Amino acid sequence: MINAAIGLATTQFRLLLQDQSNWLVFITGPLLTVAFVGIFLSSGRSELLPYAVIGPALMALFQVGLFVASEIVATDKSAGTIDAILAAPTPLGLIIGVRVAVVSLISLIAIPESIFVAYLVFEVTIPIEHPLLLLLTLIISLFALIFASALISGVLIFFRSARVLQNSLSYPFFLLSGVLFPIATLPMWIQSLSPYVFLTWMGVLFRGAFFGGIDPGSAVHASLSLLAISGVMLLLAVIVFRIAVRRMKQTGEFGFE
Amino acid sequence: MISRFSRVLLWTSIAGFYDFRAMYTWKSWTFGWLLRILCQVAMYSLVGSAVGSQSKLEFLLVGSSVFVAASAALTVVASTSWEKQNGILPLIAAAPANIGTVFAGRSIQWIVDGLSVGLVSMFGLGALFGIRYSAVQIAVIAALLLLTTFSVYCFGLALAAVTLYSVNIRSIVANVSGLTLLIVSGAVIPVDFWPAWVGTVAKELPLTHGLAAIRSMRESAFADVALNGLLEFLVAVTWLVISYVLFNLYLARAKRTGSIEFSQQ
Repeated sequence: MINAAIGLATTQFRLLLQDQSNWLVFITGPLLTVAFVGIFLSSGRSELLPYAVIGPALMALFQVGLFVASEIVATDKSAGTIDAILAAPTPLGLIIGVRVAVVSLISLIAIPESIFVAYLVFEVTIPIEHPLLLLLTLIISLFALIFASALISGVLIFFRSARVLQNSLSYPFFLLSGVLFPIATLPMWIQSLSPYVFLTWMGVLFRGAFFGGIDPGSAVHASLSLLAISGVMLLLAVIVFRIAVRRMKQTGEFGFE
Repeated sequence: MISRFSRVLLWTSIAGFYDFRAMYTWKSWTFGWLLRILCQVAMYSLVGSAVGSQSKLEFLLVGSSVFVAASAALTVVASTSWEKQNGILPLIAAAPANIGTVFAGRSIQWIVDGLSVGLVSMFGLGALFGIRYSAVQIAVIAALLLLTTFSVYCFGLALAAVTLYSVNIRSIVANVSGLTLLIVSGAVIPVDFWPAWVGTVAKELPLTHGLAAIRSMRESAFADVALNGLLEFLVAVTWLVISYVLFNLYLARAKRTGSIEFSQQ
């Protein structure tokens, strides 16, 4: 099992390196940081900088999940390797889990990258007010990203125009989660949806860990909320994959498409 | 000559619209693409709202509406590369039509796409955020948005010609140039916030003058509208000429080296 996991991780890392488009978000992410830090500084609202620095990093994390990790199964389908994967003795959950985990782990680079760019362009230094909370947030967020990517990956199997769906999902999530502005700015009826989006809690935790201003009660509440949503996403991912695999086996749809 | 130019432009445009129809249904365009764009513009507008003033909200709503139109027009970089990946280049090279004209028409659907999402964002979403326009303002701003989208499209054509040398970087080129326009053109950050040299560069790029003209129209400063509209038109023509030169240089080199082949690279 461990050998299989190492082999899967190595293969996924090599696949990532092969395609330059996988790294696009690490180029566009910093440019968004420049844009949003610029917006707040040019408006004289430097107290909103936590949103401008953390927001684009979270957007990058989500986009890696949406465009890279979630395409793993779709790519296997089009490359004709999905039938070999399904026939292999290694459990499908491990295969998807490890490969998505590699991508999600690498996506965390977006956070220091955003901080570095904010310093480089605007000389804005970002503190780490709560290092332990930061460590905890990184760990929980990694699992949230893995489960979210696995879920999207499973859902994409059912869509013919996966790219259209991927393009459509990102900004509604960014809007709902208030990664770039306080949730209170949203209309009330939209605010009620925000607690169900995992990015909302990642934003609360990362901003609190770096910039402070979060009390222990709020940190625990945000951590538990993020864990609960992650658990639901994992459950849904397992259900979606079971349905997808059963359908592919019944209809003979897996294989080269 | 003009008749051949129009014919080539007409047929390549029709091919472009067929491509668009294969990519989107009206449902996936409306509830997928347009909804995503509206969320993007709403996000910028709410950032303006968080900053705390209606004028900032309007500044960001107008700027991001023009930016989404520009971003759609920059899809020309990718769609031109798809022609190489699909193995169409040898046919274009063998045809009597100028490669610049072929590619100018081939992705024209992105101008219509950009204009549509830009207009819905600016006027539809604008109304939701309490921004009202007079009928004259709507008509003139729509015309200016078309000019600006066309100008960005011409800029995108020039980038597309360069990207043909290595089509793998198409997404990077389109996204980086789009975000650079976002940052320096005054779409979301006033141009005078940046050092003077950034403003100088921005004036040579599309979007900057068109956006300034649209903002001037909101204030009914007609002289500024005319001046900036004219400057945006000149920028568009300049980039269109540059794209023709770059496409023909690419083709001449490819013919010389025998590198017009089916290629993913």
